[in-house]
Amino acid sequence: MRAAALGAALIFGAAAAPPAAAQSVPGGAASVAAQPAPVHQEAARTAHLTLAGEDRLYLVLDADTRTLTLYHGGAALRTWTAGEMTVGARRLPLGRGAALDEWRAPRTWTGGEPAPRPRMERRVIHSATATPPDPSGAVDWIPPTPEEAVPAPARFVLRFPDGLGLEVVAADALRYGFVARVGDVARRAWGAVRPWSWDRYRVRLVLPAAEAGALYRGLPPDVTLLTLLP
Amino acid sequence: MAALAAPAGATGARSRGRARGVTLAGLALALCLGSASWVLGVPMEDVASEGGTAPDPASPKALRSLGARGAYVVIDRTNNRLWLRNADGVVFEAPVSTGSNTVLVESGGEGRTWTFETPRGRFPVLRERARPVWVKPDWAFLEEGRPVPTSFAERVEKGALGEWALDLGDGYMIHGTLYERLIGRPVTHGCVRVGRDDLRRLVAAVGPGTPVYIF
Repeated sequence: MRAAALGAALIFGAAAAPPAAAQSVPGGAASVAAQPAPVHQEAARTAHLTLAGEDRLYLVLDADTRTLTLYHGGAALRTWTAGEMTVGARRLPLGRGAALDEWRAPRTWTGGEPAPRPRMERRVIHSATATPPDPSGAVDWIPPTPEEAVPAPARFVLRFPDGLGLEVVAADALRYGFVARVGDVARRAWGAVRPWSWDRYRVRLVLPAAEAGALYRGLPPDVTLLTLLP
Repeated sequence: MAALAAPAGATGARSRGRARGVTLAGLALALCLGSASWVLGVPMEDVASEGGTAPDPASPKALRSLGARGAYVVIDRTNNRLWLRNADGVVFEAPVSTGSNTVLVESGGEGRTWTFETPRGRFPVLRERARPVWVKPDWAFLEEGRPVPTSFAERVEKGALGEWALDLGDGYMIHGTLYERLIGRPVTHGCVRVGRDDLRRLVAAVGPGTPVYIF
């Protein structure tokens, strides 16, 4: 019965899924606001200046330029530009509802953790068993590259306790064709009904694989994110 | 009594079964609705056609007063990359080597432990040193299984840090290396190693007081 219910959920979800482009956020100069909203602009400025005044790393997601930028004290450190960006809010919630206005206002999210978590293994050397280097310059152990040391998944979610899930997808992981599309919708539907992933808001960024991997590996702990949505 | 109880029990079981079925059906419907609502999401309208509500990030002028003025250095310690940036963007990018994250445990003696990690944070360049000399700390001997020398002269090593060193404090530096083939891999004791040509370019662009952001 449970399997049947799940199947129904997946089939219903797959049938109901609209084209991804319908949820895409437009980017580029063409989408720059014709009539600025002073309330949102002022709130964005205040939120950003508050974060910039603190001695810590934080991310700013700007839907208008489809960029995710890492800052420290107001200085931009690194920018990731998404090829695709999709945003959504739960409309018929099983849990808490999600208000669109609340989602659109500039908002600071704290305590973000990536799932799956990057695995960082430490090598331990004991001085009693250490050996001098080879005089010829040969090395017996070459450390792995960052990509080898911390392999990045094709998809990961930066999840915030207040209900935001920021899904990052490596462009190479995107599959095309009907079967792949149905599979993708089914996977997203399953992600939606899992009790441990009931995000109220979701952003999906598609980045080049190398950039997605670099973001995954370079995320600071306990991520703070400012969302600036259209 | 037993004969009467049996049909009553069977009816109860059927009733409980129906109730369970209704509950599961309700759960399935709820799951369907939940799934559908999430998959449908909320289409975001075109900003321009809506009249526009795109917020401006904090004004560059205001941010500049808080952030770095002029050139600054950014180091991604996990991906082993360095950028020289200014307010206009990236000036140049280079591969580097950062901390190996190795832990060295002193066997016997004081039982000290070192973690060879490049620290996160903001560090101003304290000074530039040409042809720097490395004064090897205790761990440099212990990690090679050698005894810690008692004389200062035995600690001094020339050439290991390349042509230049930018001192960030607490023993951390951005410097050159003899092992350029390992650039891009995490091999250091916490310092940031840069290739010779990139280091020359970097030193030409920065100086004491230049902020270095490590993340």
